[in-house]
Amino acid sequence: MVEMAIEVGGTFTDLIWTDGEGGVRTHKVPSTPDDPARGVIAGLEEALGGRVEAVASLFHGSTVATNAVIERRGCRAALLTTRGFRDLLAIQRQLRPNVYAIACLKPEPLIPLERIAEVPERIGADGRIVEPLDEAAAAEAIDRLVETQQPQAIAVCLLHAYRNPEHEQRLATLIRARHPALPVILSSAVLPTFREYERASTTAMAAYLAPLVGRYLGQIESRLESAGSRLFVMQSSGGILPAAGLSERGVEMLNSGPAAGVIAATRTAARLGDADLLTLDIGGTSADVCLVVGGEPKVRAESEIDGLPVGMPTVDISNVGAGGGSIAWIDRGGMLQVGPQSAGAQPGPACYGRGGEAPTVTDALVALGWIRPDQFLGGRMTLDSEAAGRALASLAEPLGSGPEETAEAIVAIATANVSRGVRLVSVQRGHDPKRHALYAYGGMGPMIAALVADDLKIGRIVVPPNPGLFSATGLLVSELKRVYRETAFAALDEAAVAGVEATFERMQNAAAAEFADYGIAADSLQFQWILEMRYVGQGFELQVEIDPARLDAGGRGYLEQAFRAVHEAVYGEAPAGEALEIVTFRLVAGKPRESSVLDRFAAAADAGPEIVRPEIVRGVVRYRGAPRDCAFLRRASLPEGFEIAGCAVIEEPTSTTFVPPGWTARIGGLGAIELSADGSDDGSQA
Amino acid sequence: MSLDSATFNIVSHGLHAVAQEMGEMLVRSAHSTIIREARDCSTSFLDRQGRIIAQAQFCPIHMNSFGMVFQEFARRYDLSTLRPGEALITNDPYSGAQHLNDILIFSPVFRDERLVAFSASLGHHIDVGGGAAGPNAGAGDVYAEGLRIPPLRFDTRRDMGQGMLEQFVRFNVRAPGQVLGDLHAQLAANRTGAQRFLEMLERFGEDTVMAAASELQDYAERLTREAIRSIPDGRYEAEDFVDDNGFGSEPLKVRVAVTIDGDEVAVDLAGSAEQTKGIINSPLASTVAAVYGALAVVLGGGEIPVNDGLYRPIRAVEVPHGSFLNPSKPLAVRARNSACHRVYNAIMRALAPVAPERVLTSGHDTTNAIGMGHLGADRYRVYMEVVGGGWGASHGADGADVVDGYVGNCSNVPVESLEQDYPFMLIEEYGLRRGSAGAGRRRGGLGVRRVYRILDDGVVFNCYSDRFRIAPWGLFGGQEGAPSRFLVERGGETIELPSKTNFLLQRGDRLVIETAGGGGFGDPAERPRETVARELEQGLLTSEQAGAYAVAAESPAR
Repeated sequence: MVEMAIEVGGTFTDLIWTDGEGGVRTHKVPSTPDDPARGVIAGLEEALGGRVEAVASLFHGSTVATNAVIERRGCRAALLTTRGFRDLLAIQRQLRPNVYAIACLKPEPLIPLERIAEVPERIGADGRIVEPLDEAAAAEAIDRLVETQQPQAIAVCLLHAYRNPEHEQRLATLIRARHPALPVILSSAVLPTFREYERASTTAMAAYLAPLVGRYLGQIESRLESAGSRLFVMQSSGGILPAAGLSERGVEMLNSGPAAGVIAATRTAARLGDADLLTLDIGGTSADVCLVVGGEPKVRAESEIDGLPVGMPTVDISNVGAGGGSIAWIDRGGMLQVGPQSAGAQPGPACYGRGGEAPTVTDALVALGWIRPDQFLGGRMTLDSEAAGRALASLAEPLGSGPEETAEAIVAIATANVSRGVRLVSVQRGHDPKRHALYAYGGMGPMIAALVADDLKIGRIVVPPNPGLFSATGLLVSELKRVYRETAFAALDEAAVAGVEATFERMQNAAAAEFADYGIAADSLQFQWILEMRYVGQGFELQVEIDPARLDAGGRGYLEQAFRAVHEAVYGEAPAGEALEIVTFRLVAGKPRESSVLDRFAAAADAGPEIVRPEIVRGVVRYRGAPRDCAFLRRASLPEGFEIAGCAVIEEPTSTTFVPPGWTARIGGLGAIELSADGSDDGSQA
Repeated sequence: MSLDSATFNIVSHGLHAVAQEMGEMLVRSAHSTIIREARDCSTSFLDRQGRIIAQAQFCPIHMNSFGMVFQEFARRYDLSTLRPGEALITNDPYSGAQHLNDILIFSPVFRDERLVAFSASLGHHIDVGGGAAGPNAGAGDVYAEGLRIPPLRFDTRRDMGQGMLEQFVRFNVRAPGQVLGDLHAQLAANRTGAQRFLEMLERFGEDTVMAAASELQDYAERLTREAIRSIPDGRYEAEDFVDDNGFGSEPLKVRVAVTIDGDEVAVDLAGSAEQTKGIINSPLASTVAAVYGALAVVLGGGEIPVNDGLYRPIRAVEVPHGSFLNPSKPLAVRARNSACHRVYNAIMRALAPVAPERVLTSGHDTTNAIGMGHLGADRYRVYMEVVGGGWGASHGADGADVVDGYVGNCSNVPVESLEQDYPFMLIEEYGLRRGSAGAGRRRGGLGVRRVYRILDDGVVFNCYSDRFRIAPWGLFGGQEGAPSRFLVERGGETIELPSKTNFLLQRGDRLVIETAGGGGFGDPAERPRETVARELEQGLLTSEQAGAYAVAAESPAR
């Protein structure tokens, strides 16, 4: 039977599947943004020659939700909220993004004012009902809203509903009774945590996406159902869930592609013995970086999309506007800048010869010789190095330098932009990047990974097989997982400590019930307890992972000590003796999955009978101001254990790995390229 | 030394990242709502001579004054004798600081025992003692406003914790846990800044970093001079007014003359009102920071990095001593932001005829400091929030709805957090103040309407605000925005409050805050009719107000 992974990106859709005979195959088709499901189904049919029934499980990641928000292509959603608060989506948090700008533009809410109605009700901060829900008035407001605005989904966000969902649930019943066809999304179900704007924004987004995501997944599912296979969908938290659990929670699909890549890196790293790593995924327009500590990617409680907050657990990925297509330009003050504008795939870098004239990072790499024009994408596309040179010359002249110096400056700036992103997720979170291995993938990640590593004094880099298809690989190795959150606001006293176990156990039971619906037995689930805690008075919480056994033995003292350790790592010392509080309970429920895909890639890399000896071509690249002899190698021709010192360039169809002087590349386990720094060239580099 | 283009870019961005990280860290580790939720704080990085190298995107009124307060320290102490572990602290408005709530800490940064820079932070503290648990509108002098911390050189290990400085502050403020928590957060932010800066020196070399910092200043200077040259030479005058001093009804004039001379600019505030009773005087540092901030908007528009270089083409800022923009000790200054906003407004007005695309109409342009104090059975609870209003309109954009004024960038506090932290209040309404925007081709921003239900006796409302009497003005045919007003509804009675007051509330009262809308820009008749129709449907425009757009409603869509 086939286990299939399909990852839909903005331009291309990647497919990877393992068959019943120990093989692994890949395929690539164009995405179809106008009707995303069509591209998925077409890709599936094409890859399997129409034999869709061979698929046992389909694991899916998609930018469909992300793009719908960014391009404002969601549905006509409406919002019901507490009387007095209809403008909360418009007011937001009152911040100006640039304090010296003349025009100050807030992000456009997904639900405009005319589609927002108030209902008379009020719940207090302690969860008690201050004013009962006026159901007659609510029914009238709902009917009027439906009649005048014809919404396609309704979001409900009432004040303090995270504490007491009763009124929201009553409203859901009312809406369903009167308008049964309308999807209803409750804030107390989507995000039961305090801060009303962030919760309302998330709930609004869930409603905005619900019909679209439901339809999209439904189309794919119906094609699969006829074949008897099941659909699983990737979430931003890095776990997958059956599609049935996600149709009304489209917000959980946002940014799932980058999350899948991080999971693939984490699983690969576990096999290669790296527990602490940084992931670096660079494509055409941007770079995604993430910190993994102790084999677990960091997950944060909220993120932002197009300026709108999303309170969903998200693999803590930092996005930097630096990719192969990033455009280099000179600003009004004469400073050379790289990005965040990108030439994208159309027209693309100047060297693509599709009419792009602006110099990009890729053009700079061609000019430096790190990318060979006739070997791009495995030779399927020939680059125009003269066009790259012309584009660079247009910048070099005003800068008063040569095209090659300019190319080096562009690469150096792009590298520094990426390094800043890496610092953000590591140094700024209290982790020293030196102690981490750098996992580089995406088309461009392996190209500048060593430069980033030099900058951060990282000594080990791993480039997995098929680095351009790594997110799709991640879909095959992710665990079934869901993150649950519940607001507590409990001072940390003896009573609260007793409550911690009870609360987590109650949450575990609820999670087990949900997973039972997915056909997953309770005894196969693994749970992780996390408390979001802070000093009383602080506004931001820290995540503290709780060991149930130690909690049982150590009680309050254990919780205090665990919190202080995290606080000190992030913020340094704090005044001792201050009271603590538990703000949120977070439960992670998951079921690990076995996948042989990593081994199969390794076996595939090793197997080919055509490998007689490594294919090496000698050439010259420019590096740190001087020409260097360089070996160009075809990755597929390199056997396990093969080793080469930089300067070297290792080429393959989806990516290129640059091994600068001072680094040695070796083909290691799982077919990964492992780079290690020996520092021998440091003196001349500085 | 000369720098290559890549190094200049990399180090410049790196320096900015240091200041921004310090600020985010301060916000995330602070204890008080005013810093952690409202972000009323700033961070900055200065070179050994006190020139600003980089600052984060927080409150302009703070950020443009770090240099001035540094000079005061330099006058008092031989800073070259500072040792690791020492730091500088003050909140004194008469020593280059702002108002007493703003406590500045400068931490020297050492490399191999050699002083190389200063990392600095400013936090607005929730309470600094004084006559009210919040702004003391009746303060006759700075002593009635709270604890003055003179410019002090102190040792963090000796004087914090059980040491003299911490204990002295602890005993003089109403919310010691929050104030000390925030001071420690400031010190931690400074330490982080120092560490990151040292890492940069390691990576790039000290000469390179310093050369890039200096090049970044030259870069800002170059762009600023270019912007000044685009404005015709001349002397441009205008005025605007603060409503009153909180005691009488006499408006206080801010008069400005802006002289553009080639690529330099000079600002003269002669002719502004005399210093006055009450809390609305602005210390010199705040006034000068307002001038810098206004010019940063007009000349830079957010596209020039704001550092010492941007200030260099500002040839002079004349502020007569004894005016309310440069008062003599010991006048009270808590509400100095009202005066500072009028400095911005007057500069905008003066330059509007010659630089119409670079200026804004008046927005609510006030720091609406809304505070409450309550001594509960267990402890004092002090609430303070900056409630936004409508932003000014400009040539290219409508004014934003509900944002802080120019001098700050405070966010609102989630209602769900407020009601958790302050059990004596329930927010009954928090919405756009419909009909408050000034009409224009570009309309002003809408103000806000917020209603607090008071749930306990003994709550004192402490506030300062402005734009109650003199409405936000428009430009080029744009109309005025609605002025602000604060009301208390008690039983069947409505009590109108003044803009600066301390008022004892009763259980059951409804405190109504309505902030001003911004003035419009350009003729309302030129506003696209479909935009007018949509805003009518949304209720943002009252039908009465729509009259201003009547011509537009009848003319074809444009």
